[in-house]
Amino acid sequence: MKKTLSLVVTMLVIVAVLAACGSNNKGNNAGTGENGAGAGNDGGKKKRIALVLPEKIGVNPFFATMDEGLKKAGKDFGVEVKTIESTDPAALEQNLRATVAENYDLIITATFQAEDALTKVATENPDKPFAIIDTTVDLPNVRSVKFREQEAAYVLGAAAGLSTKTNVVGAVVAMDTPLLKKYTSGFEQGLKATNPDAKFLVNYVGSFVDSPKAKELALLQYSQKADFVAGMSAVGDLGVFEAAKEKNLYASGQDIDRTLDDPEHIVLSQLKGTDTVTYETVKDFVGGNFEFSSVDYGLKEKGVGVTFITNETTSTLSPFIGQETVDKAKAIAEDIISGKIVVQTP
Amino acid sequence: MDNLKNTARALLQPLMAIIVGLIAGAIAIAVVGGSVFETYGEMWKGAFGSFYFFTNTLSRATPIILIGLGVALAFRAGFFNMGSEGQMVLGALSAAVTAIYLPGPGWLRLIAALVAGIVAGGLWSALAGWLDAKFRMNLLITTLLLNYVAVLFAGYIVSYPLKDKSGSAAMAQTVMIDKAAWLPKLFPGMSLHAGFILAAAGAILLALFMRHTVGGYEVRMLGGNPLFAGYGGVKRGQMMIYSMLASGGFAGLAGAGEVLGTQYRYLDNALTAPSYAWSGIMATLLAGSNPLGTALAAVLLAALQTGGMGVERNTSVPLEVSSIIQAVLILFISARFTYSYFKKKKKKAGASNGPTV
Repeated sequence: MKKTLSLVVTMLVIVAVLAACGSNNKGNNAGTGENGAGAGNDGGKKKRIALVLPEKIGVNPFFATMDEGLKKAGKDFGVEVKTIESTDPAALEQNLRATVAENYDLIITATFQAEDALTKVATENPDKPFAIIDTTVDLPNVRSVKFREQEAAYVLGAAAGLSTKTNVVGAVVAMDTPLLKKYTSGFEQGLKATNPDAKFLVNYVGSFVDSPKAKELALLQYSQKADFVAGMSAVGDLGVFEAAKEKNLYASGQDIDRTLDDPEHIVLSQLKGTDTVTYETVKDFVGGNFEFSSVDYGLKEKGVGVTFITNETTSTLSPFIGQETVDKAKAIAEDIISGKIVVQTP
Repeated sequence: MDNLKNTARALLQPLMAIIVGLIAGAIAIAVVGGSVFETYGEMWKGAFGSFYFFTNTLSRATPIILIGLGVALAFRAGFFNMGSEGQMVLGALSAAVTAIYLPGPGWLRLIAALVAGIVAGGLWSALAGWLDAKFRMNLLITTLLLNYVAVLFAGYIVSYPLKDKSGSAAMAQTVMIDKAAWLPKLFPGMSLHAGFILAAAGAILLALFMRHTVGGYEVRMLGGNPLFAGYGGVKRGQMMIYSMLASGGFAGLAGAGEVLGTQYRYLDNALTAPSYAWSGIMATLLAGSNPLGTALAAVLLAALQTGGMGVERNTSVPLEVSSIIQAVLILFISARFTYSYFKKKKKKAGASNGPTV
């Protein structure tokens, strides 16, 4: 009995000591204030906005930039913002419900993975405003924010068509779905516009996170004489980049400026401004311009783009692309913005 | 008295392990610079803070309880059923397919779907039992490996033949089940569904079965001493197939409940990503295969997960802290240090330390 007692006492002491360390290390107020802890919900009239992500951010730039955009908006417009990551579909739904219960003023979520959960939660809470990024949920209290990725993909495809020496280019795509068809179809249209003889290889990874498989598919395309492979497989792109480096050939990334990582082999990057749209969504909400409809962002609104061509970058341009191609591609991008070139949607 | 002592022991073990886990979590929180009390406060609030969060925890616990019960039954009979994941997934897929494609009124489809889930999970599990009884293929290995077969098969089915082509069509999933065949939610606006009642009833029925029936006695006897049970006329092979059938049936029901009560369709990865099956096995180990203890341990494990979500929402401490606590739990459960420690103590101190909890 004595031993049990001393064991329990020791444990309690350890906990108490650690707890004391913890609260000393960190000013409690500073820690919670910035993140907008849900507990104290009426500190002034600050609006509270939650971003509920369907996955952990991890190394996925798509979610990482969204988080950055939200934090920036929080600072600029004086609203409390909070990013919440979920581990699985059931957790996503519970987090959405919990943000409703914790009475956030606006709840933003993202991607097709959240469609089911948001449809359920938004239907049950018709007075609560929601927004979903990168897909459409057609409900009166949901604002759907989408991208016209096909426009940037067209520009990327056009640049690839002008640059390829072997007349074979490839794309490693996450999944065979309508969303990613916007990428492949836009890319192919651009490619055919500048280089009608070019062959276009497409392979599907079957996952958004499988880098080893994406690498093998990229190697396969290089072995079929492709000298440029467009990564369109989210986290899988890391595998595509590795393949390009091994073979000393060229690849492009997506979502964020990947050319910074390895400008010799990652020669272009198709950008998707998830940070911009998150920022704009918060801005509209704070400014009172928030409408529950579907809005989309393309080249014109700077929601999508391609490094070197439509967006500035600090990395160096690869000779594989060359300034001449960049200038031609710039003209193509201008034509898309002015409406002279219409990119077909699949 | 004996009853009380047994229950107390079933409770004491998980509590000890959880305290150790919480201490490890406290160290992790201190390392990342969070406040231990505040974080645990948020964890408590996220799991039990209000009626709403309590029901959230129970709904997360529902599949874990059912799986835990199935595993507990097999463990009691001395069989290591590691195949709950595959059994659950096949149960879920069968339930979804039945609810979607069977003609008839909603209630009929709902019941048929639940039964289909139980049967599919049970047969898949019994297959492993049969392989062992007939060909002496090690049950631990076959159940574990059949998980991959089941999960990948279900993934294929919803990626190709039965894939939902409507909407954005980006997910590997079946179409949505008609609303008439949904398991009803217990409270409006909350995620808790009627599957929880099935799980709770299952725990009580299994406890009664183990304690008060001939079959339950045979199961316990076989697990306690197979040679003696064989001498007493218990047929091991037959018993193995039956107990595996029931064990898999529980797992199949867990999957069916999630499909009919939460997702309303079979969605690839929705059951494997939250590790329901492994949490269920952990709950069983925590409670030493006691059915009611298993249910309680399952709620505690679910509370750790929903509490972790609360921490994620309201503090800067990352979600992973609750994973650390769970990992430490597994470690200590595997080592069974509390068990042997208190067993030794009990021999010395007699019954006096029974009701400490």
